[in-house]
Amino acid sequence: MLNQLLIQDVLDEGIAQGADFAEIFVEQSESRTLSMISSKIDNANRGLDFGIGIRLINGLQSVYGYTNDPGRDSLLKTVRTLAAALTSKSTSFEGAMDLRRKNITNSHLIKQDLNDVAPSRRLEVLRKLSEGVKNYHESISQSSINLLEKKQNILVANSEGVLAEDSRNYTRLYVTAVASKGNEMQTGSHGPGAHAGFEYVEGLDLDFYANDAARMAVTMLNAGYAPSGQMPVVIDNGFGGVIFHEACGHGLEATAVAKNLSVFAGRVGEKVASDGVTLIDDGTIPNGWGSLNIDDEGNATKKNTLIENGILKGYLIDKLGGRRMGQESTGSGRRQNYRFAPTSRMTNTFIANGPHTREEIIADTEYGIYARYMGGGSVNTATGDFNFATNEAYIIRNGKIAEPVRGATLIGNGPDIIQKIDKVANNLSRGQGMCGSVSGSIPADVGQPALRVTDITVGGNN
Amino acid sequence: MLDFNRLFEAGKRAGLLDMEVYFVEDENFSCKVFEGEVDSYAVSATRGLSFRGIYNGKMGYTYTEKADDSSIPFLVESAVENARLIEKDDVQEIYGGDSHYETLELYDARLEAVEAASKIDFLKQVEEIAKSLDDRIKSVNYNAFANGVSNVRLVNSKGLDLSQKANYAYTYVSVLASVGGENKTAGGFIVSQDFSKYDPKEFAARLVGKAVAKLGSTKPKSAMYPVLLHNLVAGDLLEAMSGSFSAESVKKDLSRLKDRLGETIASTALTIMDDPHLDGGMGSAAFDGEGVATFSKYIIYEGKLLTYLHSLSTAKHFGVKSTGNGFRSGFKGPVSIGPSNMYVLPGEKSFDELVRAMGNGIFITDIQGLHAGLNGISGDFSLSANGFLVEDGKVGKPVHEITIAGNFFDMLGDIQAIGSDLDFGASSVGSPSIWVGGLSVAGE
Repeated sequence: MLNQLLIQDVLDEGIAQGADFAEIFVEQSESRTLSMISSKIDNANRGLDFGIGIRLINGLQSVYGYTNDPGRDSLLKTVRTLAAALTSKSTSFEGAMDLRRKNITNSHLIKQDLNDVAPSRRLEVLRKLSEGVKNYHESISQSSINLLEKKQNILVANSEGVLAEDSRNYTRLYVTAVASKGNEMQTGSHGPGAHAGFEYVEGLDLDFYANDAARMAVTMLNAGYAPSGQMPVVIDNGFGGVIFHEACGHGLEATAVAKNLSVFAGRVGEKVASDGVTLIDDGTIPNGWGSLNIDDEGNATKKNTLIENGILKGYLIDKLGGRRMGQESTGSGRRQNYRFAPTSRMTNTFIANGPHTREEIIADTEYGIYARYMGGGSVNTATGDFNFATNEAYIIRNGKIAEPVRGATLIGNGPDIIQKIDKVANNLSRGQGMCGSVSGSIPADVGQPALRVTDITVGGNN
Repeated sequence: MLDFNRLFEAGKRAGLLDMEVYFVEDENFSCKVFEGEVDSYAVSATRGLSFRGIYNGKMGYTYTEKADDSSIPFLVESAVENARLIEKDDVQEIYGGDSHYETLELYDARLEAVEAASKIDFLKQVEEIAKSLDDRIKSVNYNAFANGVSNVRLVNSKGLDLSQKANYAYTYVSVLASVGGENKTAGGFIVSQDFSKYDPKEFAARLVGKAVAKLGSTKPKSAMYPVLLHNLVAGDLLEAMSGSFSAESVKKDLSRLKDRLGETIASTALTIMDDPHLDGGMGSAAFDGEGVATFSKYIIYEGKLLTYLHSLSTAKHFGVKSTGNGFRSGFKGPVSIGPSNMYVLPGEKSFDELVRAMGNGIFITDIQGLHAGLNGISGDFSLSANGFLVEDGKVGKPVHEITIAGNFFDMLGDIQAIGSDLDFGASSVGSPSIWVGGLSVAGE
């Protein structure tokens, strides 16, 4: 994507100007989006993203620049501007090492690249989903189906001699159903995605996604408001894991830990969660939405155990965070695109299976909330305070799932809540999300089996 | 650099009737300071363009960040291919232009003369002063300054050629106060092109005061309370619901304001305006993303809904004139309807007078998770929040780990009074503090 001699010259210039580490990231991404609203194609877009990011580090100071002008003058000017911003310079000039191309083992088989798909095949999928949603129930007033396909080609090279290229294909569907009754409108949605080509979409059980999104909307349309106060909450598998992604995962990233801004900093070996909690970040899962062959710093991704049986085992570490912490990278350096310097991020993060079943856990709960599908939320990593919406929730009464309730927001504190997980089931599954942080918005899987938190604040309207 | 005329000629040969290029070029700077050191430093120079054109009555979109002539075949082929996929039957138009466009001064040359070192020094001072003011301030956990300049040019095959140069600067800082295991953060912005407005002493004192005031928070009993929404909180709620005013949402049956034009939908105390020419406004623009001249208008006047926000396409559908709200959020996405600078007109009462008038209730200073805890269609919300009790007409003890729940549209009818303290924060949507009769608060 960029001449190797020019890459070498840019890196050499960075080192010559006082950096002890120089890196270049070249990206060319093609994306296609297609959206259908109530059975008609509403929007189609196709675009090309192209740019180059340059990072210089000296000691613990990092400076970053990006441009979409790949010319020699533009890149050398960027390097010099950045070098001028380094407050101290490295003097041991030996030049960058010779670049050695890394052999990348591709673990994510792509059968149908976005440019190999005839438009009629996309339309067929969207129409099937749209019809499925509409035909579910008379109260369905609207359907919105979106298809996103992206192919991100990257090259990363650095002054330690790394030169690596990778190609990442992402395919994701968003299925949204709107149910209406008088003035009331409720939505239900699913967003399955993978690090894969169009074959992923064609292999999905489209009827399930259409029917289930519609079922969710209709169920919530007929739901009353959630109660408010503190109570036990059973969170079901899959996207439910978003709570632990936000409440623990972000606090285990070097971005927060290295600066001692996380409640988990300096606590490896300590018990930080209930006995039944094992938290894993695995960037190697074949075709996983958050998986990568190599991270955006050129390191192979890994399976990292963060918490094991309640004991804190380690953190997610990038190059710069590793320098601050005196530790090696865990293959966790990620960025949205060339416009962001990489930092430590999650890939596919999930709580491992426990010994119980969902049915046992619900039967064992006298009164509380059953959160079948979680929505989005956010966390303040400095305090650990989080909030999450539920997309589909029910009251549990006398060990049985009772009436549906809407608007149940769950709030609490991350480090507190992971010590209150008293039962973990054996039905682990993962769900897809876009995770936003300092290095932008990236694909990430969250996951868990069904589990019970003994006590959490539910913010309802009743 | 891509030659627009060559692009239009190639498009015409491929069967595109009218075409438009939306070209954006920008340069940005940002930096962060942590523990006295420059923690991040970034500079950029980028450009990109959107190309759209009408093929058999349908609009096809595409974009590229390779803005040179080698991209012409890709752009033309993609626009035609995408237009052929479109099935919606709304009428699309490339605009011929208006006779008059407001001249707006959105670029302040003095800002470009400020050295990076001065910006870094400002952040260092804020950090140092914040830590020195109170020993409960454990760290300045986010400490950033950013500024940039952008050039937008809209050129179409009907001869319209508009451009706007603008620059901006802001700082966002968050401080962490900690005592006995309780951690509280408080953040704030300064948004101004005038660097003399960045006073580290005043800013640090404001944030430290906000953070330490939160220490010793308790949870109130779960109940219905009268609620005073801080100006920025009220503005955030309005911004999150602004899609309801879009004629596109109305047309697609995704707004509860459908069929309500001319009706009273809110307390008569409420007037909401959209003013694209507001001095210093984050959403100020002389033309929208389709080249339509912008103008200011009341959306709600004394409780009555007067207009939706329109693009050319929705205006045609509803048989009205475009309100100049067909904006582009960049060159990658399509034209999308949104407000310019939208705000609630201030009332008479000062903040203190509002607190006295409310007597007892809860004053909400922060809300979290708006993207998830609020249904932008129905208006139902349940949001994590914190703030203070209001007791006997005074702001009292801090409260945290609560949620406030209600419905936005119900709340508009339940407004008791609107303060005089209009603020936009770092947004293009602003509001004064607003006292609402009752929201459901979940605590103990």
